[in-house]
Amino acid sequence: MEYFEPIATRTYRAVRLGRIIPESTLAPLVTGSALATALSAGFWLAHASGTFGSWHATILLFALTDALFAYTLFFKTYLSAPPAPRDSANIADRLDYSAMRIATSFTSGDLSALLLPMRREPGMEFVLVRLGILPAAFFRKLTQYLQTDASRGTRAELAPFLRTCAASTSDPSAPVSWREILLGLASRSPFLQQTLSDAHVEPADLKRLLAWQRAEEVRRVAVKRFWSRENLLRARGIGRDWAAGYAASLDRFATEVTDLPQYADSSLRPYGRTAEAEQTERVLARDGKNNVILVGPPGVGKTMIIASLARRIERGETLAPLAYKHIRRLDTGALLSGNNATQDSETRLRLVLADAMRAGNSILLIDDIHTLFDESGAAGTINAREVLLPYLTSARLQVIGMTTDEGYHQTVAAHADLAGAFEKVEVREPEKEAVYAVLREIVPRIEAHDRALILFQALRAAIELSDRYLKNAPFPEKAIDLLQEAAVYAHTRGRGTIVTAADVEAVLARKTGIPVGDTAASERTVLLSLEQELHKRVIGQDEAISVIANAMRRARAGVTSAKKPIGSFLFLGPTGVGKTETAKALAAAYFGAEKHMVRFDMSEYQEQSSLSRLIGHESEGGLLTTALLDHPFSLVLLDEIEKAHPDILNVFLQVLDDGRLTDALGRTVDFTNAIIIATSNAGAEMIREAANTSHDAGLKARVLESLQTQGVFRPEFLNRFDAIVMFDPLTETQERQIAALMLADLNRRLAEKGVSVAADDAALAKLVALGFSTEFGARPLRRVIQDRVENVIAKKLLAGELSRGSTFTLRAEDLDVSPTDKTDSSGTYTH
Amino acid sequence: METLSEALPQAAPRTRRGCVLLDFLYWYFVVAPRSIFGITQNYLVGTIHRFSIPLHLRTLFSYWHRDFEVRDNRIDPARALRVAVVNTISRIIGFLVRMTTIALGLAALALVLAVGMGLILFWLFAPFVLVFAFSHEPTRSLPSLRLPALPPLPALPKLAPPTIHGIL
Repeated sequence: MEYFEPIATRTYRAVRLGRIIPESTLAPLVTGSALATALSAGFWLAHASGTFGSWHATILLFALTDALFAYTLFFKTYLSAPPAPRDSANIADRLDYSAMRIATSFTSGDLSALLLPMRREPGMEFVLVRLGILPAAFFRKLTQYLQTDASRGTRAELAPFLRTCAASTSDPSAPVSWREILLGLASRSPFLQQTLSDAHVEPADLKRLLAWQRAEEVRRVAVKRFWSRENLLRARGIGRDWAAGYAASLDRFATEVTDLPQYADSSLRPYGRTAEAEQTERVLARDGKNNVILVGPPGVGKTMIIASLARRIERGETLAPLAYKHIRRLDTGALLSGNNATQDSETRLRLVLADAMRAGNSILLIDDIHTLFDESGAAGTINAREVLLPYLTSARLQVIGMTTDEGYHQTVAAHADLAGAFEKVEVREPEKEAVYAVLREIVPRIEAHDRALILFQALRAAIELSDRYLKNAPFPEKAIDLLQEAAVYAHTRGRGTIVTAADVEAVLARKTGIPVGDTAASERTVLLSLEQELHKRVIGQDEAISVIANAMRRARAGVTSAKKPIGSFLFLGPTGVGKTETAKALAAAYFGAEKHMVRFDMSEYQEQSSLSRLIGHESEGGLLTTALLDHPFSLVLLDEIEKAHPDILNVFLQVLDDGRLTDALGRTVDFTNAIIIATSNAGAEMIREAANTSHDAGLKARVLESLQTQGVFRPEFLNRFDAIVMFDPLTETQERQIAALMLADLNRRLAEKGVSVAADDAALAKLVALGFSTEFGARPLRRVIQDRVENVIAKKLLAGELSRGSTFTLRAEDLDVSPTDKTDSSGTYTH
Repeated sequence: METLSEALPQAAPRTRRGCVLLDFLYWYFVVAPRSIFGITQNYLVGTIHRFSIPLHLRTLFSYWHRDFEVRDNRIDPARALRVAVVNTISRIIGFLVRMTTIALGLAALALVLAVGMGLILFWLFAPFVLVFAFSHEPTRSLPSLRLPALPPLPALPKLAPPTIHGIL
C-alpha cells in the first residue's frame, strides 16, 4: 500500500541542504575561490611575502576550490538529480528535486499554494509567457488570492493529490516533477482554473505546453553537455570520402541533404514517422532492389524523413550497409535548365549518375522524380526513363525518389519496369500530436526571423484551424505556413510582436474568405437574420427559408457534426419557383458571393460513364473533385438530381455521410466546409395539385413515399439529407412581388445611367400574365422583362428620349405583344 | 504550522534517515569515477569517429579516391606496365594518407585515455595529494619574478641662474 514519507529520500535531503546553501550561490563561490587560488599561486611564484602568497594558503585555497567544485557537482548531478526509477511504495521516492521543494513548502490550506514556490522554476516562466501571462502579475494575483477567505480554511490533503500526480505520468516509474504538480492543479486549483479559462486554455492544452517546455529544457541541457556522445558524434569524420571516387558533376548538381538551409539548427527528428523512416532504411540497406520512392502529398514531410536518415548515417547509427554514405539531393531545376534543354539535360543526368556510381558512397535523392519522366516533349521537360533504368537496376547506386500520388500514378506506376525498380513507401499526414512536436521545433526559427513571440494559443490555432479549413494541403506544412504568415502579419500590423490566436484567425480569414474563430459581430448579425437576408432575393417559400436558416445557424454555432457538409438539402418543387435562386442567395449570404457556388446540371450525367467527369480518371481530376479541392468553401448545386445515373447518386451517399470523397487520382476531397443542395422537379405535379386544393400537412410524406415507390430516389439517399424542403407553387401576389424584384434589379443596373423605371399596377399585372405559367413558373419572366422592358428603355436611351434623372413609367400598353412573340390559346406569352 | 509529515493522514512506516555525508562519500568514490569513466568513453568513441579509424582500416589499401586505370584484355606490355604503376601509386598514396590519419587518431586516443585515467586517479587521490602537498612545500626552481632594480638616474648638471639683459 502506498504511503508518503519524504524524510527517508535523498531528494528531501537535497532540498534541506539547498535551503542551507542555496544553489544559486554555488557557482559564484567556486569562481571566487578559484580566482583567489590563482592569485595566491601567483603571489607564491613571485616570491611575494605575506600569508596570502604562502604555499600553505595556496594549497588551502585550492582544497577549498576543489571541495566547493566537488560539492557543486555532487549537488547538481547526484543529490538533486531525478531519482532513479524504482518500484517503491513511498510516493516521495518518485518526486524530483523541484517537486520535493514545492511539496515540502506546503502547509495546510488551499492546494493553490503549491503554485507559489513554482516562481523559482525557470520553466514556469516559459509556460506563463507562452500563455500570454506576465509572471509577476500571475504571482501577485496568486498571493492576493491566497489571502482571501475563499482560499483560507480550505483543507486539502497533499498525499492523495501527489498520488494523483504520480499516476498521471505516462511511465509509472518516471519521476514526478513540478510539471505534473502543475497539471494536477489545473483540475484542483480554482485560481489556476480561472487563469487558464481566461487564457482560453484547456488542461489538455496545458499538457501539450508542458511537453513543449520539457522538450526545450531537454534540448538546452543537451546542447550544454558537450561531453555527451551525441554532441561528440556531431562532427563529421576526417577522410570519409577518401575511398570514394571524384564526382565533379555530382558535386555540381547535388547537395548534401543535411546541408540544406531549412535543416540548419534542426534536430532532424522525424516526429510520428518512425515507421516510414525504418522502412526506408531497411530497403536502402538490403541487397538487391534497394531504391525507394516516397509517395505523399507535397509538404507532408518526405524530405525530413530522408534528412533525419542522413543525420543518423553521419553518426553511425544506421544499418551497416549504409555506413559512411552520403545522401545528396539532386537539383532537378539546374539539371533541366538550358537552351537545348532535352539533350543537355539527358547528358547532365548521365554524368551525374555515372559520378554517383563511381563515387560508390552516394545515395541520390530526387525530389519530384515524376518531372524526369515527362512524356509530353515540351520545352524544359525530359523523359529520362531509359537513362535512369540501367542505374536503378544496379546494386552500386541507390536512388530515393519522392513524388506525389498523382505523379506516381501518372509516371512511375504507368510503367512496370520503373515501378518494379522502386520500393514504394507511402507517407501520409502525421497525427496532430506529432504536428505539435514539429511546430515546437519550427517556432524558434520563426521567432528569430520575424522577431516575434508566438503564444501557445497561436500554435494551437494554427494546427486546429488549418486542420479544419485547409483541407487541400497536408500537415505539417499547412500549419507551418499559417504560423509563419501569422508571425509576419503580427509583425507588420504595428500593434506588437506577440502572435496570438487572433492573428492566425485573421490570416486564415484572408486566405479563405471565411470568418473563422469566434463568430464576428457582422457574421452573427447575418446568421441571426438569415431569413431576412434570403428573402431579399427569394419571394415566398417561408418554410423552406426557415429550415435552411436554422440548419446554417446550427452549423456555425458548432452544434452539428464537423465530419459532414455544413448543410445538405434536397429541394423539391415545380420549376421556376425559386429553388436555384434560394441556392444563389444562400451562397451570397454565407460565403460572401454567388461565385462561391458550383453548379452541376445532373441531366448531363445520365450515363454511368459520366461518373469519371465528376470524380476524374487516371490522368486527370474530375469537375466536382477539382472544384472542391480548389475552393473547399463552396455551395454545390446539383440541379435535376433525379436525372443522374444511380451510380452517381451512390457516390453522393458517401459525400453526404462522411463529408469526403476520394477521386480517381487517390486524392481525398473534403466536403465538410461545403453546402450541398440538390434540386428536383420530381413530385412537382403532386405539389401543384395540393396547392390548388388546400395546404396539406401530410403532403411532404406523401410526395416522398411516391418518389420512393416510383424508384426515383432510394430511402437511404433521402435519409442522408439534413432537410428535404418543399417549394410551393407561387401565388399571384408572390408573382407580382417577383416582378417588382426584377424591376428593382433592373433599376440598380440603370442607376449608372441615372434613369429609373417605375411600373404601375396594370403593367405589373401584365408582366405577371406574360411571364408566369403553371408549367414554367417564374422562369419566362426574366425573358419578358428583357424583351419588353429593357429593349424599350434601350431604344429610348439611344433616341435621347430618356435623360439623366428621368423616370420611365412602364404602362401596360408598353408591354404589347411584338410580332415575333407567340401566344397560346389563353393569351399567355410563350417563346 | 503543520509540517508536511504532520499534515499527512497516513503515517509512513518509520524508515532510516539517510546521511548526506554518506551520500557524498558514495558519490565521490563510486558514482563520480564511473561518470568520469563514461565521459572518457564518450571521448574515445568520438575520437574514433572523428578520425574515421574503422573506415580507414577497412580501406587501408584502397585506391586514393578510386583513382585507377582500368586494365583491359589487349596484349600491350607497355600499357599493362603503366596501368600497374599508376594503380600501385594510387594505392600507396591512399595507404600513406590513411596510415597517417590512423596514427594521428591513435595518438589522440592515447591522449584521451591518458587524460581520462589521470583525471580518475587525481579525483580518487586528490584528498591525499592535497594533504601531502600541504606538508611538503616544493622548492621554487622558477626564476624569481621580482623585477630587477633600475639603475639610478644620472644627476642633472647644476645650471647657473639666468641673467636678465636689457630688461631693467
